[in-house]
This record gives sequence, C-alpha cells and structure tokens, in this order.
Amino acid sequence: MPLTFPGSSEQTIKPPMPSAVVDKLAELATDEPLPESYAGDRIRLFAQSPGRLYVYWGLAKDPYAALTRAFGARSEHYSLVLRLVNTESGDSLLHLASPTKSQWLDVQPGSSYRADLGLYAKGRGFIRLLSSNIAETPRSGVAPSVDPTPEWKISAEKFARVLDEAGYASDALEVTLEAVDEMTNAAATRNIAGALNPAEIDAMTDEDLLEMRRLLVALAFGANIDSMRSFLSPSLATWLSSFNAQEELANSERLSEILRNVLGIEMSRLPIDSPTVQAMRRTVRVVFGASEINLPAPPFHVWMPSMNAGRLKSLASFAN
Amino acid sequence: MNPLGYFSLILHAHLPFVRHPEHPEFLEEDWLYEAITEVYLPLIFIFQSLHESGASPRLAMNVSPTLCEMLSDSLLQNRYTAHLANLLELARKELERARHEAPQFEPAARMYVETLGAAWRLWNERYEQDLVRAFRELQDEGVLEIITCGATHGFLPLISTPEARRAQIEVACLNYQKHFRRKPRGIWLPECAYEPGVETLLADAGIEYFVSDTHAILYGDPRPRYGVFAPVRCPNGIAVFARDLETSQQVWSSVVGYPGHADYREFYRDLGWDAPLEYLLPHLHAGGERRHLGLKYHRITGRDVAQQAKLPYDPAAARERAAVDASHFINERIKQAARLRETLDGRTPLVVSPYDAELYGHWWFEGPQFLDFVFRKLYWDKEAITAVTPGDIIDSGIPIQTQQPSTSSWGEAGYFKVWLNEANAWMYPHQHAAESRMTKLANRHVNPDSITTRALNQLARELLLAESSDWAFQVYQGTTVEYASRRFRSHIRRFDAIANEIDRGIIDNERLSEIEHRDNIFAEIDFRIYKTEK
Repeated sequence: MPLTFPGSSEQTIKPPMPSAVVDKLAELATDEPLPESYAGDRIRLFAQSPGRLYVYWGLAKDPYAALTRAFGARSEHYSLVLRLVNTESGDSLLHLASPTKSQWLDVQPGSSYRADLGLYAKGRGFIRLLSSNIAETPRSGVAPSVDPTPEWKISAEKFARVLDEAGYASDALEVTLEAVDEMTNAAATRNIAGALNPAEIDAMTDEDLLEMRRLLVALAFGANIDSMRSFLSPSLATWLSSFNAQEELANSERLSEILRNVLGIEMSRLPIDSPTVQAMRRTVRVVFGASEINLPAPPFHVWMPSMNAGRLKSLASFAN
Repeated sequence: MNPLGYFSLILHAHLPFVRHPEHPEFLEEDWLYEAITEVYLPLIFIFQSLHESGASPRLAMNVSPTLCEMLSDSLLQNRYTAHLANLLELARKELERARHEAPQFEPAARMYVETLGAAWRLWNERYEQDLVRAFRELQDEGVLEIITCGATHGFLPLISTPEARRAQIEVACLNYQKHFRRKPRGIWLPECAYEPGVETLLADAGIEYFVSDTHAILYGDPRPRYGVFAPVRCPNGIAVFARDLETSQQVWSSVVGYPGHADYREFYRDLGWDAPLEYLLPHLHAGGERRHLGLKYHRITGRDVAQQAKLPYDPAAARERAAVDASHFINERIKQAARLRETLDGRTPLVVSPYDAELYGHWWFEGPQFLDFVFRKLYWDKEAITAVTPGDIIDSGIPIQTQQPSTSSWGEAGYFKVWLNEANAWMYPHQHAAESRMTKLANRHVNPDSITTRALNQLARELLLAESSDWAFQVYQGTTVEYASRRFRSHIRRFDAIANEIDRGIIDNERLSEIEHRDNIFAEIDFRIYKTEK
C-alpha cells in the first residue's frame, strides 16, 4: 500500500520557480484536462469487486449518422444502450448508455460478463456496435469444492475452524452451518430458520439452502434486512417479508441465542452497524496513518463446538 | 526438530518515483527523505547490528524498483544529504532551546540530535550514500530475502494489455538484477492485487512465489487444507503466501494495534507547525511554507486527547513500551502457534505478516525498535517460533497444496475499489489507450534509428510511470489529489507528445532530452519488451 506522507500538502503544488528557469516542457501543461477521447472504437469492461463492474467506451463515428442513413426517420426510436451479458447463463440486461461514456453495473459474484454497446428500439431489436472483453467477478466467499486428494481433503467442520483462526468469522459460521446441514440432511438450517421465523419455508434446493445459510449468517452479524432484500431470490424475499412483519424477532441477538442453543456456537462479540452482507463479509475500514488496508473488525471469533452426536441428536428434534 | 511455529515477516518498502530536477527543491521529494531518515536507515542499522552481534534476523523485504532507482539517483542522494544536514542543524538548535526554555522536551530533543547524528554517519560514512548497497549486503549476509515488485507498482488487474502487464514484471526483474546482482525469487504484487493469470507472467519471469491477501487463499479453489497457515501453489507451480490477519491487526490497527499506545510518539504534532515561522524559516524551503519536519515532541497521551493537550514525549518510556509490546507479540505468536497446531492436526503453522515498511519508523516512530526487540526475543525463543522467509519454506521441501487462488487485493474491502472508483476511473481510458499504442509502436518499429529508439524507450518509461497505482490511490484517498493527478496527466501528455512525434517521423531532440532528464528511471529499459509475443 503506498503511503502519502502528511508532509505533502497541496500548498506547494506550484513550487516557486526561479525566474531564470524556463520550463522546457511548458507546452505539455499538466493543469489542463487530458483529451476527452482517443481515435477509434473501444470498449473495456473491468470487475471492481464481486458485485460491481466498470465499463467505458468510445466510438470513432456518430452511430446515429449511419442509423439515419439506413432507417431515415425511424432511427429516432433507437437509443444507445449497453447490453450486459452473463456469459455463463446467457442472461442479458439492457441499460441506457450514460452520456459520460462510462458506467457502473451491479452484478453477481463469481460470474463472467460481457458488455455490448449498441442501438436498441422497442420491437426492433438490438444492433450491436461494440463488444467488450469478458470480465470475471471474484467469488465473494469460500469455494464449494474440497480437494479430493486424501492429503489435502478437509471436512467442512475443520475448514470452519481454519477460517475462524484466520479471522474470517462470517465465513466460518457459514461453513459451520454447511457442516451441520451435511450431517443432518439440511435439517439444521431449516430448523434454525424456523426457530427464527415460524413462517412456512418452501421446499429448498441446494442453491436455496446455500442462500438461506448466507442470509442467516448476515443476520447473525447484524446485517440490515432492508439492504439485503434486493439480493435475495423471490422465495427467500417472501420469507423475509413475513419475518420483517415480526420485527421483534428480526435481530442478531435472537439469532445468536438460537445458534447458541441449537449448535453451541458462541460469538465472542457481536459486531455493530453492519449495513450490508458485503460490509460484514469484508469488515471495517481500519486506518493507521494514511494507509487503509483490508482488516477485519477487532478480534472476533466464533467459537466452534464439536459436532458431537448428542448435540446433533437434539438438533434433529429441534422444534419446528 | 520442528519449532512450534514459523513466522515470516515481509516488509514492503515502496515510494512512487518522485524526482523533480526542474525545481531546486520540491515538497513531495520529502517523502523519500523522511522515509530514509525514519525507516530505511533505522531498519538497516538494526538488521546489521543484530547480524553482527550473532542474533541474525531473517525476513523478506521488497525494495520496490522505483525506490531502488530513487535511492541510486545522485541528484536525490545529494539532496538528501542537504536535507539531513539541515535537519541535524535544526535538531542541535532545538536541543539548546529545550535546555533553556523547555526542559520537558529536552529528552526528545537530545534523542533527535543523537539519532540524526547516527543517521548522518551511516549515510555518509558507512554506506557512502548508497542504501541499495546496504540492502544488498544484508541479503548477501543471509538476513534479508529481497523480493521485487511491479516496475512502477502498477496495479496488474487494471492494466489492459498482456504486453503492458508483462512489462511491469519483466522491467522489475531486470531492475532487480541491476541492483541486487541476482534474480528475484519472490514478488510483492503491487497492492497484493491478484487475479487468475498473473501467475503465468511470474512463471515466465522465473519468479517462484508471490505475496497475497488472506482471501486469495481462503476463497481459493479447492478449499485450502491449512488455510493461510501454509502456502499453496497455483496450478502452474507458483507458490502463494497469504497474510495472517491477527498479526496485521496487532500492528496496523489504530484501534487495537500497538502503535496507538499513549506512550508512543504522536505523529501529527510537529515542530514545523508548532514553532514560530521566523524561527523555522532557515530550515524551510525557499517559499517559506510550513511543513512536517520530523521533530515531534509529544506523545499520543490518549485516544481522545486534543492535540494541544498532548504531553511531552519520553523516549525512554516509549522504548520500554516497545520492548513490552514486542514481548507480547512473541508470546501471542507462541499461543497462536499452539492453537493452530491443534487446528491443523499437528502441522507446524506458518504465520505470514506482511506490512508496509514505512509503517515502521514513519507512522509508528518506535516501529524499528519494536522489530529490534522482536528479533532479539525470537533469537532466544527460536525453538518455539522460528523466523523464516517464503524462500526458506519452499526450500524446506514441505508438501504444498495446489489451488487456484481467488481474485483479491489487500486494499479496503479486499478487491479493487480503492484503485477503481468514481474518483479515479477517469484515469483508465487514458492509461489503456497508451498501453495499446505502446505495443503498436513497439511492433511497428523493428529496427529504429538512434533517436527513435531513445523516443520509444522514453515512451515505455512514461507509460510505466503513468501506471503507478500510487496516483489512483492518492486520488481516492483525497490527500494529495492535485499532485497525483498532475503526475498522471504529465506522463500521459509526455507519452502522447512523443508518440505523435514518432508517428510523424520528426522527433524534437531538445524536448526528448529534457523529458529523459526529468523521468530518468530505468536507464536499462528496452521498449521491445512491449512487442507482441509471436
């Protein structure tokens, strides 16, 4: 991380230049903005974070000129748009292109995207002008796969402990739930969710189960429900809506109590003011001097119980 | 017999290339001078002294290519000599003043005279103004394992072409060989920024390992058997050593970290802002602006204590505190290792602790003393905790799991937000245009004449300097926005101007010479590094 020393202030950006010195590079003035665009077509897409992309573009020629030549008056129905394509699922979404020729796009972690710049008119389809490179968003949590080699194979229970030792408490809790689900045919997460909110839960696929575990972890870490709603699948959003109706249950202390009672998990300290899942996952901003690096909240561990048979037995019969 | 745990300290010494021969003095050059006085000289002195006393420390250290180039630059060496002489003169004046007017500050004033005097002797006599030599000697003596970095600390995932990414690595490796007379084994990826594919460039350059943030391994695929407490290997064999958060927290955090203790020196109270201007004038730049001078007389005193209420600094008490904290740090490592051994089914854990070198001495004034005590204690406790480098771990032959690490950086929030956000995104279209144009020109000019070769080499320098992640970082951080923006714009403008001349076939020799004179980094550069590989 580069340091900027407080000794460098803006006041001497223009240090006094002795009159005898002539700046031989004066014509390359650095005060003026750089040229707005460069010749030629271009479009670049970059992943900024697991949930966000940045795209910028430039067109050598005005696209509307050619459109007008081809379609005449009908060309006025067209708008310049960005078509964001998930290259894994094939899903795409249109965004009106910003006049700034750059845009931020919200996306899913662990996926691949391409941005197409083009012209679009309702009922007339999409005319592609440029296609970007493919950008991959990073995974925002642990990988699902376990090394099959005996030497490197690790159980979910042990991996949760490793994560906890490494200071990744929210991932540790998520993997703990995964471990208990593996041992109880997914009864653990369903039961914990049911204890938190008695509203009916639809049948859950493995994907739903993973999402529910992440939701529970986020709630346990104090995430704000409203901020999470837009990230959820329809079925979980519905479940969360009924949950929200029972506001008194919707808090991390209640969930912590359930986790303690059901699994014996003790949280050494509850974090506060965690507005989003991402914020909790990636922790707080720690500043020392001018440097900011990625650090977790002050030492915070989840105490992992042994997944002993007695506890799991009680879990299986835990009240729905 | 294996120790209870291994501990790998990795220091990242880096400053952006700041050198302004067009001005007789320049404020931002002070970044280097302050770091030499407060960080590099103390660390070199401590490591060398420990080695000579038989308690040799063992750690890895990145001395970035831009820093090596500045430390080897005669203009900056001469300017630092003048800077240090000025500071020493002021410190001596201050000691007299303290004796007569402010005895509560006399211990601190005396300390500055002593430490600056020692710095003067080290700089001029022991190392003859050549600190790269000092680092090289420490490596040759087996104290340091010096690793490299991106040539200008370019943020690799945000560089748009494979050729430009490759140039950041290969120029760095060539520069390392120039300064350290061997090939680097490891690299500190700028900002620890990694995305899959970077390891291919490293393998091509002969690099064996890189340093990453924690979640590169924790979120890697498949799941890491030993978390970050053992290295992993990328599918192509490059090893990865990831950051331990517990040790990061103990030193970095302003909330729970050691540097926030009340006895340590307060950073933000500085004589340059406290003393009457007329008193300071002989020691300021010609413009007479106040600035941090590095003479600070107060201690932190307390978290919520106003600057004006800070108490006098007591060097002896601070030193005592550094010893206590070092002892605590080692005891915590022993406890951590014991705990980890249980979690890791008996395997000896490795704790990797990467830090900015400038934290030690600049931000945390007592940091070098802390490290001195840490390594002294480690010498006696080596059966419990053994200090190693990543290279030592690789050489030990321990089995290492293969994994595809996850995209990550060590910046705020763990990904690329610090270097790509609403404040600094405007830079990238310009940088990327230059990257594409550089390769087109390198491909086109197979056998250029002498002046065109010079122009193409200077283009490469301007591009590399524009790519420094420091500029985007400073713009995001909001402290030296104007300087960082101007630096970025200046390199892009110089790049465009030279490229246009090359395209026209008419090169202004006088202007090219002036640009070469100012941006004189990497004398050895060869623009062909940007050619597309067939």
